[in-house]
Amino acid sequence: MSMTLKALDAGAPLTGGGFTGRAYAVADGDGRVHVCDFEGAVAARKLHEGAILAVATDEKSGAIVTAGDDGKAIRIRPDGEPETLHDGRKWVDTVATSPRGHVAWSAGKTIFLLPKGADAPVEATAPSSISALSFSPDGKWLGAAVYGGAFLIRLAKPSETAMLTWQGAHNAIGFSPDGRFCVTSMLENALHVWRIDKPEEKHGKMGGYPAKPISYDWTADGRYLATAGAEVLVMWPFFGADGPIGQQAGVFSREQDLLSRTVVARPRSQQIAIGYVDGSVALFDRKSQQFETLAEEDEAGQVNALSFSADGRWLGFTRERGVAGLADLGKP
Amino acid sequence: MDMATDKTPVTVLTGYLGAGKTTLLNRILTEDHGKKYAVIVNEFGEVGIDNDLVVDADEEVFEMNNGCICCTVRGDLIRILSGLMKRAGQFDGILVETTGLADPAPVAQTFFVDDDIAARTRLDAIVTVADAKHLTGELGRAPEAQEQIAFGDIVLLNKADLVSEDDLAGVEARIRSINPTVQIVRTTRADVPLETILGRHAFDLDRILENEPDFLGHGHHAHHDDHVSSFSLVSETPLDPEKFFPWVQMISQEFGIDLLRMKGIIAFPDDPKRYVAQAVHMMLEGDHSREWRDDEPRTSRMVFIGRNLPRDIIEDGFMKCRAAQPVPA
Repeated sequence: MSMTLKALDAGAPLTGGGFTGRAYAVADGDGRVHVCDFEGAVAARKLHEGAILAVATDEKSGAIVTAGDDGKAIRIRPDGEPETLHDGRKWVDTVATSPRGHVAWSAGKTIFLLPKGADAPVEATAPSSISALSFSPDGKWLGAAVYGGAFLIRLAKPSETAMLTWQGAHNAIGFSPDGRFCVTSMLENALHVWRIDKPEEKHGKMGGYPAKPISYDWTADGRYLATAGAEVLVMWPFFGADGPIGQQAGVFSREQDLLSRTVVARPRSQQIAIGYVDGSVALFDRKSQQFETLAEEDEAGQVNALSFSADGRWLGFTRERGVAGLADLGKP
Repeated sequence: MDMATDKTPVTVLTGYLGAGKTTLLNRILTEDHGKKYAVIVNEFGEVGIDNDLVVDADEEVFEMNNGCICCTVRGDLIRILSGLMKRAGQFDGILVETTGLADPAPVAQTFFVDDDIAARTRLDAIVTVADAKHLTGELGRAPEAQEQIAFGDIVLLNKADLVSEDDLAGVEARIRSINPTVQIVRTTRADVPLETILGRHAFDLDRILENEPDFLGHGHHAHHDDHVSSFSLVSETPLDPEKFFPWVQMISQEFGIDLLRMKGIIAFPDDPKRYVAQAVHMMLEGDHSREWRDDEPRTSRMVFIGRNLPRDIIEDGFMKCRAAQPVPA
C-alpha cells in the first residue's frame, strides 16, 4: 500500500469534512471551507460569519453544504457561487446530503428538506431539537436524532412521519445500507437499533461503551456495524433477520489502549479506518484482524471526522483543534 | 478561557423574573471589561454586543435513560456548548440564564453527565439573583424559589436599597436557613464587581466548604414550613473509608431525588490529605485534596441541603462511619 499524507493546518477548530469530486473539503470554526485537491493544492473560502457547525458533501455532484451559527445553510458547487439555502435567527445545527441529490438541515426543532431540483424546502417539526440528520441509503427516509428516539420523514411524502421511540437523548443517527435498520447513539454511552418495519417489537440497546459511541458505520458489504467510543473496535452483526438484536458484538483489541472517537468503513474492502482521541488514525482489516497505523498522534487533538472517497482510495480526516489530513491509500 | 485547566468556565444565573437577571446580564455585556463572554439566554432581550455572543436557548430538559428519575440534563445546552467549542477563538466565560421558575439541577447535572462537555468546560458557580423586597414572600409561596436559593453558591440580594436594614437581616437569615454555605452579596441594580460572580470555582473540589457554615452552632433555625432545609454533620473522630464510601453512595442513591446539594470534607485515619466530596442529586464526586495543615483540627464535616431530608437517619449513618479508636496503652 502506498500512502502519501498531506497535512492542512487551518488555524481554527475543525468541524469535519467530506469528498467532493477530486477533492477533500474541510469546514472550520471560522466560517471557512478549505478544498484540498488530490494534487495538494488548497483553496479556502469564507462562507459564514461564525463557526460552521456541520458540513456534508455530495461526492457525485461535488456540492458542499454547510450549517453555521450565523443562522445560515449554504451550498457551494464546483466553480459555482455560494447559494444561501437558509437564513434565519437560530443556529443551523445540522446538515445532511443524500446520494440522490436531496439536502436537509435543521435549526432548533425544525427540519428543512430540500428535495433534488426543488426551489423551496419542505418543513417539518420534530418533538425536540435535533442533534443529527441522515438520509437512508434506500432513499426512503430522512431521519433525525431527537430526544426520545429517531424521528423519520418519508421522502416520497414528507407530510408522513414516524417516531422510533426509546427513552433518552439521542445524538447521532444512521441507517443500514439495506435500509432495514435505524441506529442512533445516546447520551448514556449506548447505541439503539430498530427494525424499521417492526420498531415496537424489534429494537434493542447496544451498550457497554466507556464513552459516547457517536460515530459508527457499516462495512462495505453491510454485514457489520463498526463503532467508536471504546478502546477496542466493537463490531455488531447485521446479517440476520433481526440484525444485532439479541446478538453479541465482536471485539477487536489493538496494542495501544486508546479511546476511539470516530470510525468509517472503507468502500470496496473489509477495512475500517479509526480515529483516536490522541489524533492518531489506524486501519483495521477484518480479514487479517490486524491494525495498521496510518497517522501518528497530534497536538491538534482528537480525530472528530473521517471519510473515504467513494472509490476507497483517499482517506480524509479532521482533528478537533485544527489539523486535517488526506491520505492516498491506493486502490482497495 | 481558564488557563489553569484549559476549560471554559460556565456561570449559571438563576432567579425569579424581575429579580434583576437581565439587568446583570446587560451590565456584563456592556461593561468595558476587556473579556469575551458568550451568554445563553431564553429570549433575546435588549442585548447584542460587539465582542460578546448571545445565543438563544430552548430550555429543553432531558431525562436520562438510566433508571434515575432525577438524572436530568439540559439537552439544548449540550448542543449549544458543543457548538460554542467549535468556534475559532475561545471565550473567557459562558453565562447561562435560566427562566424564572426553572430548576437549576438539570443545568448543573449537564456538566457531570456529559463527558465531552466536562472535557471542555467547567461549571464555575450558580448565581441566584433575588429581589430583597419580594424574596420572603416568594419563599413562602413557591418551592422553586427555595430550590433556587438552595442551589446557589452566591445569592445576589438585589434591590437592597428598597429594604430596611432590619428586613435585609431577616431575609439573609432566611436564606442561610435554607443554604448555610451560600455567599450573600447585597446589591442595587445588580451593581456588583464581576469578579464576585465570575471565576469563583465554586464546584472545584479543592474549594469545597470554603465558605463554611457555622458547624458548631448546630440546628440552622429552619423555618417550620420550609420545603427545603439544611443540616450539618461533624465528627472529631476520623471516618473509616471502608464504611464512609458505601454509606455516601447509599445516601446519594436513596435520598438523591430530594438531595439538592451536598458538600463534605472528610478526615480518614492516618491519611495526611483531606478527602472532599460533593453531590447534586445522585451525581456524586469526590477526591483527595490538599494535606491537612498542622494547625487545623482534623474534623470531618458535611452539609446537606434538600427537601425534607431525614436528618436522623443520615446523621446516624454518618456517626456509624466513625473509625474505631485505638485503645490507649
